[in-house]
Amino acid sequence: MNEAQKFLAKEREKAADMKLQGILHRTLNNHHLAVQRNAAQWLDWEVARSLAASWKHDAISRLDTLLEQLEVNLTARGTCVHWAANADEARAIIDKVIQENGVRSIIKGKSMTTEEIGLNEHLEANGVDVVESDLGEFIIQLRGEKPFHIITPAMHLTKDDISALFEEKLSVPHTDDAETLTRAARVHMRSRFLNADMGITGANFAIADPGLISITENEGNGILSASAPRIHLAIMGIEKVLPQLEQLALFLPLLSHSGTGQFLSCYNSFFGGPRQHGERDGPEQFHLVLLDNGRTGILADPEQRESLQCIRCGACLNACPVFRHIGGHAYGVTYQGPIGSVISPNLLGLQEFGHLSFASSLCGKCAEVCPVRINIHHHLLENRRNYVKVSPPSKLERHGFRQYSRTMVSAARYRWAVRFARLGLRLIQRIPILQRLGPIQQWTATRTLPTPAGKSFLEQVAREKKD
Amino acid sequence: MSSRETILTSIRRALATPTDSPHRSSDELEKPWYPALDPSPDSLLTNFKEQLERLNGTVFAEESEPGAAFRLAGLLSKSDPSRCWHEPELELMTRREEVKNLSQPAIYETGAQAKKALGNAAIGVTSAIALVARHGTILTAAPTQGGRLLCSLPDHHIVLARLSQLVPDLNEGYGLLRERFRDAWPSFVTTITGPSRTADIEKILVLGAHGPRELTVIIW
Repeated sequence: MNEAQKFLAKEREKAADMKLQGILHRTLNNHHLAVQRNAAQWLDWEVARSLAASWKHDAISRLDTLLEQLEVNLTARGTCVHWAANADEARAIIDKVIQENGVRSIIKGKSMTTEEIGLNEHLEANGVDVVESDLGEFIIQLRGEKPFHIITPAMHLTKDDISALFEEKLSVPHTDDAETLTRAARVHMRSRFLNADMGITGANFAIADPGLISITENEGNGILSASAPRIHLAIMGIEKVLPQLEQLALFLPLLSHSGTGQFLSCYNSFFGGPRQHGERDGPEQFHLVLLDNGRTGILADPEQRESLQCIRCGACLNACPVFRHIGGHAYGVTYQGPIGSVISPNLLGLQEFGHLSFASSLCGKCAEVCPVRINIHHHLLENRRNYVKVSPPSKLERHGFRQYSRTMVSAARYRWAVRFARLGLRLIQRIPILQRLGPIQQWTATRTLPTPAGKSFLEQVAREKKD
Repeated sequence: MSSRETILTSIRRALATPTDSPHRSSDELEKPWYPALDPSPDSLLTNFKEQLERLNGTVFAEESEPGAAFRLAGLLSKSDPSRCWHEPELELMTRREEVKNLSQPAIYETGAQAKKALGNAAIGVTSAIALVARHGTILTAAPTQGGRLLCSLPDHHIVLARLSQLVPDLNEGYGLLRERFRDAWPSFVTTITGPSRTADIEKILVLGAHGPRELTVIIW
């Protein structure tokens, strides 16, 4: 099966999973209500979005100088800044830090970038003990799954599922209380935090001046992963850097609002180096890995460049009618939903993942909720055009669409076509064997055919006039 | 060519074709995105308290230092002094009789010692750089809170702050950071908005995920 076939199979399975449909419906509606409830904090949300989009655009337009400035400022405080052109290089850099320091156990803060480079699988294969500390990530790690949603990794599971998992893996007695489950995870994790040799985190933003990374979270696992072990390593995409600290006064509330419907997430922490002179604790080493992994390719396409403004808030996933029905696992990539369908084909290969750009009704809801005004559905269309160039459709399909466009631009041809269509539909309904033919079968497998009207709209109007 | 050079070269080559910012209409970009806050100390305090308590934090506004010390003593005396730690620079802890011997200064030689001391701590008492009224947020940094772990490992984090530390927005808080750490930026700065929380299980709010379950601000 190629990626497109896998996607179709998964998507069918998920859309028919009634338990999943219930969970998606409930949690996404609750999320939507929370965002709406807190919308009143903004004097003008549209102004906030425009400003954020403009600042991100500005930052990406001078990405090279900002990255160099970030490196200089972080290095001055004793940080090791590494550059990784791709996932292999990033994993090799991390391996080297692990080997040089005799690291045996790692605690991880939530990071989609480490998912992108497949870090956990790689470390486990090398015999390194690695534990996720974000509750949602911890749950899916125990289940051997991938995140379901970039913000809420375990969104697809109920309390019951999680209780059964904790009973099996952590010997926690069965409970239907979310608080008891959370408490059990906290206790389990506390000794991990205190004993791990190294903490690995992602970063939500980096600031060139004064040189720091910013991590947004609610649990406190980010602070602990970055602070308790003797080594802190953070990995981030190169597009996350902004010039000025003061810009976070907008971006942090913006991210919280769009991501979880909060005014401000519980902890927004800035890490600017290892433990400094006079500080009472903190890691001896701080490493920052700057990851390209296809991002400069997107940057080189002026049409798609805007997609690098993404702050990974997940708002477009929550709003998307496709995501709301198939969930995150069906996509088969790290970054799911509308923005994932924009960037994944460009990060991973258009030929293999271009089909994701078709997993959209182009309703535009994603662009409407995007806090940095990425024109998401427009980029999906561009992807489709590019995909058709590298992967031309069959002769039949091309011929069909040529005829379709010829028909649609001529009123006379259109009228004839409607007549034929009505006739054809009636014929297909009368003769069941026709319903199992080629493209007709794709429709009839899950839907009943519509009954055509006796007369077309134009015919009806003409008749009214006559009467 | 090193990866650093490869990446920077690719970026420069890509940016040789610039794109216009589609959203730059300068008058829109100069408008505020938040409603104005009344900057009087009383009003800032009211807003701060309302916001933080909405998020399950507790705020005690006291008339004077003795009042604050009395309040702190009441909170500390509920726990065993061996499990209570405070930022060593906190003057109130040495100056006021009420709180003496109720807690220990968080001084340790090594990281391992810090973790051993704080891993099972009940209370951590720290100061702050500023209190942000808009969000009910505490802005703090490694040098003003005895490091990183004193605010994140104990079950209960107590923050002592003065009324004059209230600022309307994050921006003013960042300004104070820049002023204070002009020459030596700390390795750690954080904004704390309520007790640690998670909603990873069915989006049900649970307090005390990995960090403190309780957050109290005593302000005078």
